[in-house]
Amino acid sequence: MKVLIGAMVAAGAVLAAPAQADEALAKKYNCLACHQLDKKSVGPAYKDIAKKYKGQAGMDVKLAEKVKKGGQGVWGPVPMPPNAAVPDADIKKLVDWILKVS
Amino acid sequence: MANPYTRLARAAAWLALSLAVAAAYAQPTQPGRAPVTEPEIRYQAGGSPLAQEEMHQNIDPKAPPMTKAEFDKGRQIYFERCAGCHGVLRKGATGKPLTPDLTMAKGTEILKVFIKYGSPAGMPNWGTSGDLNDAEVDLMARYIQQVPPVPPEFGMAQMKGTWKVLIAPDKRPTKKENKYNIENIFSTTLRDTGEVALIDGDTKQIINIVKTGYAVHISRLSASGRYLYVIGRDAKINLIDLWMEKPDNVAEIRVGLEARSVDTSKYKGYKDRYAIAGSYWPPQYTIMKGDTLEPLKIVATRGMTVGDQEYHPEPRVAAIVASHFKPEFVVNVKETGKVLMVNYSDINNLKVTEIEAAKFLHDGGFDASKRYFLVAANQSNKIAVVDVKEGKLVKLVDVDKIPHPGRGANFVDPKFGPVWATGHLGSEKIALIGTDPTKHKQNAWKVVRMLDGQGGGNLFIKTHPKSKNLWVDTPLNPDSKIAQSAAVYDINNLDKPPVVLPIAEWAGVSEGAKRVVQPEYNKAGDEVWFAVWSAKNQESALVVVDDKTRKLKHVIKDPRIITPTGHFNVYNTTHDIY
Repeated sequence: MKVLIGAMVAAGAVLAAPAQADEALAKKYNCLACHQLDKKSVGPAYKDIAKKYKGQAGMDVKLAEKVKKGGQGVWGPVPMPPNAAVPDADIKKLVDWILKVS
Repeated sequence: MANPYTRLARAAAWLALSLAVAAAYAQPTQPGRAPVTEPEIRYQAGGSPLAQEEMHQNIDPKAPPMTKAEFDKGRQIYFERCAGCHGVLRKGATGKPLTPDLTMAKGTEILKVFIKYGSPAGMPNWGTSGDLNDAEVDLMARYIQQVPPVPPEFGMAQMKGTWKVLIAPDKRPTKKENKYNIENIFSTTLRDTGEVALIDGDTKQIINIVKTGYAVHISRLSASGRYLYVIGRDAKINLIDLWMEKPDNVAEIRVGLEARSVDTSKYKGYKDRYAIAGSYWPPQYTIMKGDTLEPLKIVATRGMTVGDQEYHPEPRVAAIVASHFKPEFVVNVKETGKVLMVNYSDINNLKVTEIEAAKFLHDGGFDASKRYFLVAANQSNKIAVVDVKEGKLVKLVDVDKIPHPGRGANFVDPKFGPVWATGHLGSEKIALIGTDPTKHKQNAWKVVRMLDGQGGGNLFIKTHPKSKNLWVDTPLNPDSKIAQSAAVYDINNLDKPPVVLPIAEWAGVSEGAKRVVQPEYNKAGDEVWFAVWSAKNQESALVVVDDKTRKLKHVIKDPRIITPTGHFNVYNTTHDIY
């Protein structure tokens, strides 16, 4: 029994770790200055982005491009500034993480 | 300093701001952060006189490049629009801190979004409101990544350089040389012209228009009631002798670059001896000779904050009052959240009692006994109660959002006994706090009642010992109908809703903002005076209401009454009757 609980806790930790890491990434690249997980702020909530685009084919690539080059109009007049300095690999990690937020 | 162009620019900024914030106000609030209301932004973001000061430019090589001309323009815009909330040194107050470590981490593009579009946490949308164009938004985003320029200090040499005794004490009258009932004179601030109007409360005639600093914040009287002290936002103090045939300036000085408060020694034996003024910049207070304004002692307020005990480089001096129980000034320091009891019996060996209250101290007044001083800690939504006899904090009382008492109002609640009341900038509530720890101990230092007023944006609340009315203004409310009227409660029937009086309409002036500001009683306590405040190029007026009948008694109109923002009655101010 003890072993089983231990294993479950360990599994939970393994699953949770990447999510935390990517939130740290969002913080590192200042995404959280405008976005929050579950509330609209200056920009849309990640939860709302996930709801809108989850499961749509090719969306991860489109969103990655938006993060890189910036965008405007989908969520209102406030533009998303370009983030040219963020490495592509990190943008991919961020987009994958955002699409999993619920 | 306050040349006509500057004043015009400030007035324009003020008006533009009023329009600008409307959009930001309607947005939802961000969780975990206090939302900032439009009245508060209107209140905080008035232009700072520091906009015109030369300051050292320090371009950080890591920050985005700027030319000297761009930097100077950024500095001017910053002090006209941003410094009220974010602070001179950008350490943050109502607005977030904007020090270069934080702003450079965000980067120009993100900063531009915030400046142009605002944020749900209360940042106004300076770009989309039309106040700043895209080039200016870009300039400000780069400007706030530079090291904040530090305005010059203002010590004894600078003060002496501005100090003028226009009429020496031995050349002044030895007795009152006019026929005015000086105890019933009103000193009315004419904000944008940099003047006060001295008005005879008996005849309602203007006695004199006296040149002062810009936007006189308050008028205070010496203990004898002879000398009137006024202080402008630009830290200029004027000393006016009410005994002269035509009362006028007899001395002047600047005690800094920006200031709000002045008062005089009231303890027996020190009548008319000292004056004190508190500055926003530099953060300090100055003790002066009462009859000449000769600066004697300057004390800095820079130091540690209450609670977290962190160093703050810019603790501005808010309200100052004078104790009637001891030879002490009560100096309220905003950012450190401390009340300083400054003993003036020996200013060369100055004793200061430091009382820990709460951030950020603003304004306040005495209870009816004058033993207790109640001061708003307006970002903590608390009223701090200080026992000036014992020199101790009595209680921190929780009230509603952003209390703004002015000096508050004292009366006897039929159910709860003696109370002191405050309105709020951030809500429609009026809090009544019990002030009698001997006969009404169970009610003392508790909110015994919350009244519902017309709305937020209240600045002043007033009654008089001879009156049964409690008057509440709402000049900073975004709804013009509310801003242009005043509410009056019957103290004997506080459960009944207030009567709303259309004071601005009674003034009979043409188009304009017509904000109704600062109810103030005459000496007899049977008239209430209001300022009806419109823009500089529009007609304003003063409205006198009969307190008993609550009907219009008199309207004072004159081409010289430009942008009146409030007034102080000589007798009531001398004796702290409110």
